[in-house]
Amino acid sequence: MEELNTIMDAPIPGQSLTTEVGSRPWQQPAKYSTVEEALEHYAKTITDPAINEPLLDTLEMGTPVTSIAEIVVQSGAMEGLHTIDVSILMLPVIMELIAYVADEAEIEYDMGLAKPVNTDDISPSDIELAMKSLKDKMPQDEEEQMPLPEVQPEESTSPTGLMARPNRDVDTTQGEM
Amino acid sequence: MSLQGQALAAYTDYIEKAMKAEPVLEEPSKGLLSRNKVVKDEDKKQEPVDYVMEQFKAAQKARVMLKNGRT
Repeated sequence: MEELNTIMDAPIPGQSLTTEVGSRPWQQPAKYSTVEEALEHYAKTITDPAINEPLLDTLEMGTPVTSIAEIVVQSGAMEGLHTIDVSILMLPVIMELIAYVADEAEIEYDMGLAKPVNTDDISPSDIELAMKSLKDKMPQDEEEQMPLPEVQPEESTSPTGLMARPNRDVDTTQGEM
Repeated sequence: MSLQGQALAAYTDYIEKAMKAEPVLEEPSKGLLSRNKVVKDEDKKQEPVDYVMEQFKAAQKARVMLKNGRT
């Protein structure tokens, strides 16, 4: 349903032609034509403590830096500050600047680079694979199992050496005689 | 046109490039007693300066210095 809503929110094909050409800011020559000029503008804006308060609030709410950087440069392009090509070129530096400001304000933020991996979660396919490999390692038939060696009872041996202690039973019989 | 994930791709690319970049070596001295072979200035290759990469590294360095200073 949500996907359907986003499709319906998209502009109608040809909608851009309904307004006069040049009436939109992005149809005019960009204010900053080079990356250097545009970066200078954003460096001032992002690092200014009087302006970046909403930016820090958004970071604190958990919005990733990647998304914020995209929104910032895209809005700049829509205002006619620079072209979309310059926006994409600037993105890594803008991200670093935002991260720097957040570090300075001692805010915990998400760069949005990779999702944390929970090592405790084991996928069902991994479990299946482990079970299969276990089955393969197990012997196929029970008959093929190695026979256990039979335990034979130890025979009691009487000492036969010269210095060996004589058996008590023998001694008693000899004394009686 | 809307940006969707370009920031992630661009940042990852720049991080990789910054990590793979060779460190800048200091030039050997050219004093009278130096035994280094003299190289003509025109023989040295002039590599194009990547402004965005320079700014990226500067911002990264500033962030690391800020973190190290605090801890």
